[in-house]
Amino acid sequence: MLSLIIPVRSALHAVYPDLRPLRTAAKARDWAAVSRYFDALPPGFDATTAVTMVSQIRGIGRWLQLMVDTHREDPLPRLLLGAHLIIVGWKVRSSYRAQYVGREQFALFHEYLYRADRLLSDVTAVQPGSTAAWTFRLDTARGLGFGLPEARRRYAKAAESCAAPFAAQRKLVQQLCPKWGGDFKAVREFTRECLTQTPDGGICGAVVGEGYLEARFDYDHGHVNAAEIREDLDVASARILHADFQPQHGWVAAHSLLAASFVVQLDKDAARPHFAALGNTFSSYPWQMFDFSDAAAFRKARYAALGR
Amino acid sequence: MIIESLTSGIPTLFVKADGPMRAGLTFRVGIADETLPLRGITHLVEHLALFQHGAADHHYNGSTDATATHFHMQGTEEQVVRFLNGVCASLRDLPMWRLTAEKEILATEAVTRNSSGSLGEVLAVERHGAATFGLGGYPEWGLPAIAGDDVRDWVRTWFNRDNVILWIAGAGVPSGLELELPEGQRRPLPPAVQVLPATPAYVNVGMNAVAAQALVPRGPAARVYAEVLERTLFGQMRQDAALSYTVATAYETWGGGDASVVAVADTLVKNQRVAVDQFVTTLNAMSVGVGQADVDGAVARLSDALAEAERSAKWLPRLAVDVLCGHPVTDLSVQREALAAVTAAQVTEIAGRAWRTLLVAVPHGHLMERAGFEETPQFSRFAVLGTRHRSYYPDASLVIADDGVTVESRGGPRTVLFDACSGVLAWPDGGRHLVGRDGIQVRIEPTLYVAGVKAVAALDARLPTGLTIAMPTRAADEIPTVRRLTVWRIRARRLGAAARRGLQRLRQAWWNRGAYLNYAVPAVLVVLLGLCVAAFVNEPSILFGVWAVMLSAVLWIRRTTLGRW
Repeated sequence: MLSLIIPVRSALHAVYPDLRPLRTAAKARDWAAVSRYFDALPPGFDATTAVTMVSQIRGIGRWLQLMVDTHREDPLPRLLLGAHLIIVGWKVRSSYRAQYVGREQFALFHEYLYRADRLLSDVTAVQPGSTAAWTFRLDTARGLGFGLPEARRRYAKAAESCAAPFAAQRKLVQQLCPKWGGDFKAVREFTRECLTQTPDGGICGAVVGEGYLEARFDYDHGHVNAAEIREDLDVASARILHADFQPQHGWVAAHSLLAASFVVQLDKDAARPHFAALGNTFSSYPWQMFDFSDAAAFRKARYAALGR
Repeated sequence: MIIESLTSGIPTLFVKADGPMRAGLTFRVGIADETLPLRGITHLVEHLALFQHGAADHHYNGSTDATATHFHMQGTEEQVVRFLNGVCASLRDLPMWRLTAEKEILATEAVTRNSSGSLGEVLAVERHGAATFGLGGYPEWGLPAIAGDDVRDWVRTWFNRDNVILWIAGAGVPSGLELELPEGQRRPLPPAVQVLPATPAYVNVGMNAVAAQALVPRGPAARVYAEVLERTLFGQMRQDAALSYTVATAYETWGGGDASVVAVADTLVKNQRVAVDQFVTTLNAMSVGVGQADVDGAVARLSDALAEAERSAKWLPRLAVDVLCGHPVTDLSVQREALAAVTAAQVTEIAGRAWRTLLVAVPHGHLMERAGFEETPQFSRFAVLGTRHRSYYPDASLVIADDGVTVESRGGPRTVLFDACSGVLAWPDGGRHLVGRDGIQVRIEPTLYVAGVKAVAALDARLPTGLTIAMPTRAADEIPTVRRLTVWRIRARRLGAAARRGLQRLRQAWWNRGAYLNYAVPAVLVVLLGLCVAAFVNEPSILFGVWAVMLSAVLWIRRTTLGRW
């Protein structure tokens, strides 16, 4: 009963405490501190989550534009502004399926994404190894309908300089789904491939869960062989629950994906360790697919699994 | 067998040949050495130098390319000597009284040439911007304002004894060549700066054709690559798919270490999509592997072409350019041997290199991102921060700052920084057209801005000297205008917006003043109501509930009226 009072959190800065100083700096519009944070990241680090968090701050667009104009040779403001424009553009589009989105909405959406893609292509030209920029360019490619080969090329670039490009993998899974012009066979193949490349303690195997949930919630195209998927889910679960696990950006989403997948399979026992690892944190996706409120969906599922 | 010697102090390349004598002077100066305000000056000098030969009945010509200016001649020994001596005499003392007339002729020549257009030049601009090797894609804008002193300075700098090579194909080096030219120095090649941030890239152009340009290391393998590419494209786009009429490639060198390979295929509007796909697929397939049979065929054809070049001595001017740029003298037999030794693996490597540096021009509306291409920059990375001038058109504004100019539109900013500006076209009516070194252009028409005249005055005050290109007066219909009605409509809209803003501020002030009142009156009423209810209640738990409801109601009213807890 007490757990009802304790809030559950999905905001990135609440879930990953190491992002808090960055958020404070960005909210204070302190460019030197923001820049210092990104400079201090080790090479090969996937900065996608950090960039997402900054670009989600309400009303930061104007300041980022100013930083783009004043720090002319620095690719970082362009990366942040590009990510921000993608978020604004998707807000304009809304998350409905294409047939429910108006024509003007689409035009404006495309305009934002083109602008974002131009900024990000400039970042990738200066820093071809920027995993975050290539990851966001997967979003623009998806929204602008550049097609699967281009999405795969961008994913390959994102994966080139990063050992565990979890965010990019998740975005490519979305692109491979029938709603964005792919099919579940390709999703299956890709998530399998990601799973086999995941070492013990790695989180990337959880994309299997994302592919599975997308298929389960797509009533038109999704035909899932539950037993076959189950094997993969078990492997992914074993990887992330391994003793070598180190928390990294994306681990909350990974546990959420696996927990939700086991919930869908009606297997509380398998979901339990993931809920236990999550505690009071969760990621909005996939729980938003279960209920109007992602937090309520998470609470319900956690209560069923853990009894709290 | 090529023989090197000195004629009147000028390095000479001589080849023994039958038939009429062919000879020429090749200077190391071309369009890539110019600047935008002096665009066309080399061509002008070439015309002035050849003027006095106008009435002669022998075969002579002059040409100006990116890095060299050629004067060449075919005829008897005596004619050749007269021509070459005459060219040098003209260069020592140009017929300046012909300046205006030759400018007119050049303007006419430009009109005829522009009507055919050149995709290769468009691609050069996209790759190199408005400097050095991209300048060829710009009109000869400098011509109207170029003065006699500019021409004299240009000739003194570039057309001198140490910056030229004489080449001759004939029975022997003729006697009587004086070739008096002032002393000077050998000029290096301009740097081939690229403005493309990433390749393979693409640009949309308004032409019914698809074209590609690549930079590859020069040499026989690259030459073979261009030949194989042309044959493959011809077979696939014309013979098999019937998509194109003209399919052509060009292998060009400018004296530097790289060669440019350009391929063009025309197509109908309805076939554009298929044609672009076929074109790009062919280029990509060649980067993966080129067949030995194709290479052998190309080598055979190129050997024939070399034999033809030997007969007509056409290879000598190219060799002269290379020697001027510091390359060693290589005989045709050496070139032929190198050509025969080219392997399919070498050509494949060149094709891979070509794919990685590729720039394609496709008709409007094509999204080449599907094929892994990046769009060439159509906007700038940033805007300058300065005084903002509003346009009569929505979603557009002009920013003038101390370091540059930006025009912002919905697609993004277009910025030209003054210290990275190639030139500014300036019309007497106030129109300004800035061309950045990266190829980004900013057009400012004072008639389209609310404070246009003021903006142009502010711009002129900040422009560095030496960039302005004075343009002749424009006809009234060439100056864009905004209708009087539009002006009034915009003024009315602006007035309305100001009035609305004022009203809103008033309303806000009223609410802020009354905020505590708005909160206090309902709160007191709620408390009174709660006391009334509590007076009739004996049950302590219900009483507790009433007090709780009352407290939360007061808090809620406070939140909604004051906007804080």
